[in-house]
Amino acid sequence: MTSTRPAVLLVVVLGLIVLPLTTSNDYYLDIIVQIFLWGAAATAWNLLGGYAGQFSLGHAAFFGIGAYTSSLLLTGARVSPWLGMLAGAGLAALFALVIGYLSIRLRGPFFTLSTIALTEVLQILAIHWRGLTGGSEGVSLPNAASVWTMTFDGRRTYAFVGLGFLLLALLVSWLIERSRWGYYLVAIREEEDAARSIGVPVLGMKLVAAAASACLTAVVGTFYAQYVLWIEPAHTFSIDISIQLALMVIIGGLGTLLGPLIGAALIVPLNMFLRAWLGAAVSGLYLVIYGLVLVLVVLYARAGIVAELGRWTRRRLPRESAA
Amino acid sequence: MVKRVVVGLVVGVAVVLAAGVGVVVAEDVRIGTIFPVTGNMAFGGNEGFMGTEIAREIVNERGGIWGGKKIVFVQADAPDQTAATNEMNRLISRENVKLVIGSFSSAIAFTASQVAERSKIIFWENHGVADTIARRGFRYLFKTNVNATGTGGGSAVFAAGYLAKALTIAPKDLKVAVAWEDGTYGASVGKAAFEKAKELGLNVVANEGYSAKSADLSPLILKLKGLGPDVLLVAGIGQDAVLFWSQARKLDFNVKAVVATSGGWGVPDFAKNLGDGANGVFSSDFPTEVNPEALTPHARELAREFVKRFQAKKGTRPTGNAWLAFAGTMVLFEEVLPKAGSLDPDKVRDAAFSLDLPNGSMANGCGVKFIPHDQLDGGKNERAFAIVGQWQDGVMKVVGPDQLAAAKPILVPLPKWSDRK
Amino acid sequence: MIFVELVLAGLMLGGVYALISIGLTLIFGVLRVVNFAHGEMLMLGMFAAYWASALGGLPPYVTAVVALPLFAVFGWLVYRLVVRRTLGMGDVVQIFATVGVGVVLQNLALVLWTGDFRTIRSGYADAVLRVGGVQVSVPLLVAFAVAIGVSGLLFLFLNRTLEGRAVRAVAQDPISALALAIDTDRVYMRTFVLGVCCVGLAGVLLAPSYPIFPAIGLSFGLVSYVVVVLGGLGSMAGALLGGFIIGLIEVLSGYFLGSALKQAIYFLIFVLVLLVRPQGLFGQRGAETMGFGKIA
Repeated sequence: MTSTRPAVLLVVVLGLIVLPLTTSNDYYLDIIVQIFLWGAAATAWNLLGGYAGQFSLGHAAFFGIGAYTSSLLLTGARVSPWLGMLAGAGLAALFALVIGYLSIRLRGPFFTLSTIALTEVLQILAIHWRGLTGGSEGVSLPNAASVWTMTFDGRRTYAFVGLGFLLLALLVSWLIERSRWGYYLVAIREEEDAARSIGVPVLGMKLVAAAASACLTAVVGTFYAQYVLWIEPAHTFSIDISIQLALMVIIGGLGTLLGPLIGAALIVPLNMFLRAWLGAAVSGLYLVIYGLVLVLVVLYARAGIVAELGRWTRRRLPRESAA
Repeated sequence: MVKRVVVGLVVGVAVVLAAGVGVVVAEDVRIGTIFPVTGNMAFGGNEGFMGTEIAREIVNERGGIWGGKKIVFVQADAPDQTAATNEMNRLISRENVKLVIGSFSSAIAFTASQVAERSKIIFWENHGVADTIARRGFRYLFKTNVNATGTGGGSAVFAAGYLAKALTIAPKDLKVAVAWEDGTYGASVGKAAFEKAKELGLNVVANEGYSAKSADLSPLILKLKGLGPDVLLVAGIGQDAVLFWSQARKLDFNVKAVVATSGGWGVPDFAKNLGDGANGVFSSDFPTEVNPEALTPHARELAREFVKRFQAKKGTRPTGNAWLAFAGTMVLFEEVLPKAGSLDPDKVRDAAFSLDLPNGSMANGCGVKFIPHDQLDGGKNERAFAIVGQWQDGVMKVVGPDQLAAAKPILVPLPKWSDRK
Repeated sequence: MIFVELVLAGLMLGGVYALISIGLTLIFGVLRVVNFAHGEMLMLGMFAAYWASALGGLPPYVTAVVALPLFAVFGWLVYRLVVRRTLGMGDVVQIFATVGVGVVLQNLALVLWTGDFRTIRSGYADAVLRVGGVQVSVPLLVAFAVAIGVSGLLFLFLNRTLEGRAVRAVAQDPISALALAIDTDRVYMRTFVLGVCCVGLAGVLLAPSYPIFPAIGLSFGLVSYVVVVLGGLGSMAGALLGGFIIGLIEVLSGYFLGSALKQAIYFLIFVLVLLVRPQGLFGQRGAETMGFGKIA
């Protein structure tokens, strides 16, 4: 597996930093914030799905845990979301470790099914424990702008904060990719039994990936809560979020560093445009398109866009020794 | 090959869309609308939008506003919360609207108004019921209809008042079961119904939430059946209403009366899907075709016109939701905007607060007076009220309060399922 | 008395779940593919019944027969275009190919038929049978009977016919089956089609009892996975028994714990089964931990 060239990374990061500065229009800034937000979450998903090969369709659970923990701490105990975020991440990691330990020996679709089931349970509980979570009416966060409460007046500030989270997720991914852990994970993903037989700590590695993935997703969940200022079970613990994360990563490139971000950068604006164009006229059509794209990509281009780009550049540019 | 085509298609579509569309006459007054016209709540969202649209048509035909300017809608579709945020952003930042009308759903109202408030533009909400909507101290939000306490509480009031008398059971002996879908809407209304029922001294035997997404409600219905209530108070948002009542029929769950609270029980689809099974169901609902005697002459004329146009477009008579949209929007277009003179949010605010219209002025029978923003429920119309309707022959008729009633209640007590055909 | 009604309701619901799950367990047992679009296929069956009734006045038991060829063709298309290419291709492909199909089907239905909920309004839909003081819905009773009948037939097919034994051979060991000159691709295709026909049939029979709308596939779909895992993947008896157990649990927990929590209960059971006894009641041990695409 080639790891991403540092030069490319540098260019991308610089581009991301410049991006929020290119426009003052709130609408476009909103798209940028969402690209960063979902890009970060997708990168987090990739740690478990792309690198460790365990496909979760239950990441909304971690997202929701992050969002609810920081929000309830803020509204109930006036704890800053910056701290609440850490609590959320910790809780999500704990959850991932416990559930992971119990179910990580399930392969393939069974692991996926159990993640779906667990998210459903969390959603039901969030609705039912109204005393704690406010039930379906959700949790409303205070409007007043203040750095301490991670609430800002301008979208551009949100964009930079979001960028921070995205860079964090990318950093974690990059470090793992380049480290020995990265090689372990690839080995596990490609040929688990062989990896186990040469002494790779399979269970331990998968748990590490799960915990890291959960932490990062939860942190993004907190940011999401602070951006929209209202969370409720139906949309925060929703399987749609889980599916979209997987979709972004698969289209962009499973197991690559920038794949998830590319997927997000494609899907998020497409979402907005398609909805504006088709939404009023024909409901659900854009989801039909997404479903078709998912099937096509998975059957014919399952390495995703990054791989396609890689192939394209290798054909056009003078040959270099493999990185 | 396939992937290239796919990528090419995707990019092509994106480019086309980015090119943007829209021809706008400089003289037009651009107002945003946000409804769930797709998704699970589409049945209500479409109805709501239609009521709003008919108001616009009528006003434009009669000369528009501010000396002949026509009102043009910039539409947004919000099937869920995320879409609501995105669409509001689009309306505000890209389309530059300064006033948005919505939204059928409490959840959408809640989120969309939040975005509006942050950008300091007016959000004119005609439908959302949840108490929390108007309790956030927002200064640019106006809500023309009742709260959950209105419809939810109203159902309990009706049970303790009219029904107790008609069934000749004393309120304290009247066994009442309260059931509600556990979403934003149902939880809010159900809570109001439960609390009011207790306050009025009714014998509440059950207070059950259920998920509107379940495909099967038999455990709940059997549980309620086992408790043998006289009256059922129920809040359902959509398809769950049909499921509930048709399963009640299948499981032979008989009550002497059922008082629903609009939502899924108050829309034409309910009667369509249940046929004669819907007859006799009461609904503490938004005012629908009230007794014309209770309206001012202008309101009477508007009401007639509305029913005519709605039937022409949809083939059915409008229900409470459509009325809310129409009546509320007409107030905005006929009373508020002319006074404001422009779409400047502060001017619109002042114009709205200056209104003091007695009951009967709105096409649906309500009056208009907005509660000041520094008080509880600031921005809500304190002269909005709920009525009690009943399905009779597939049509929702207003049966109470007396001065608005257009028909008398029937089927009290409800015949047993086995006695109906 | 109420207890009798509860048990009856649980069994009826269980019959429904069993009927839905038979197709799923068959497909998994042979192809080792979890059909994530199963719920959506059920939904299509329900719509088929609805349209047959609304446009042609056909009662569901007639539609069941008439629509079977349609389901078969549909199943064949899905197999040829999608499922076949996922065999032996690893988790990502197998999971997300059918997830994608499910998303497409659900939203296509939304586009074509809107989210409005529809019900079949015919005498048949409301017919009830009164026994003693209890009443049972006739369509549900029919679904119950058909569930038992179909699983019985499939059991006989798989164990007493040559073709059935070929199917079991392929399920157990595809390579050896190939060596025995069994056309594995054809077996896979026919099994998949059979599975789709089963779930389509389930949809038709259930249509009179539930509101019909695109998202209903999701609720029933999720339960069918629970049933299949509980009963044991690939086992007909398991789907039947698993269905009844889940149906009873759902009704009883709904009654005692409140409707809101009943779904949480069977999801928890699902996770518990996966953790404690992954092969379910009748399934093959190790089926769920076997890697996909790798011949064990």
